[in-house]
Amino acid sequence: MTDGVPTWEEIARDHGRFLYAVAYRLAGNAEDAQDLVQDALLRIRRGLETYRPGSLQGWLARIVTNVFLDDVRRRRRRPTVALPPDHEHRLPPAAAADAASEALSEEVQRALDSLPPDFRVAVVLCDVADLGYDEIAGQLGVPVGTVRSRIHRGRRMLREMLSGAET
Amino acid sequence: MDCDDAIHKIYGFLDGELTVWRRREILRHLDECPPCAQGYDFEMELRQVIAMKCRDEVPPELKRRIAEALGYTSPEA
Repeated sequence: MTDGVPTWEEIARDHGRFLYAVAYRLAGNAEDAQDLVQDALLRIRRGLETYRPGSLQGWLARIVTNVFLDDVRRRRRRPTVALPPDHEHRLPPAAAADAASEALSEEVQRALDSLPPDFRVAVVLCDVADLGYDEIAGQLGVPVGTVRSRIHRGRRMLREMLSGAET
Repeated sequence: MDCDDAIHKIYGFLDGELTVWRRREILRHLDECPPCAQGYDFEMELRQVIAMKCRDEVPPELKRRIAEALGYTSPEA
């Protein structure tokens, strides 16, 4: 690393896990999340010279988010293709997590998946990437009031979905 | 602070977006109001579950893909 700017190799090695965490919450499944991370790493390599030392995770989260949003727009323009029935061999085994928390987590993931993408992005950047509202606004290029409203409305929708499912 | 006010501000509270003074007001309300405290616990837990994937391991397949990309591009390799 020179002048606070990491090399692409360092990012791929040290931040793959962070990128995957954000990607998984956005994409909702392991396979799409892996594709998002791979595309994001390519963009990171191309864009690294524009990175200015600051919040590295914020910058990385923005790139993986942009890959996700581009993907969402592309999918809207073409018919969706169903997953092949034998895709389970690509799913990672949740060795560390116990069954109960994994089931709960999957339920939360399904609820997240049903949020509009803009809302999902705001909630994920806040909770997984741990960015503040103004940082998210800066990364997405929208006013902070918009970010606040998306997060609050997204959370309210999640709560309604999850409390409805529980009772 | 009443319940409407507390609920309105709870997300900002969770996300660390409120001033110390506002945080203290909400905490005082949560101490006195079990229904709001329950709502707060739910939101807190939900936030943790969403963040939990951070502790998940990167799948071996992705590790392999990253290693492959590194191998192809590393000038020192």
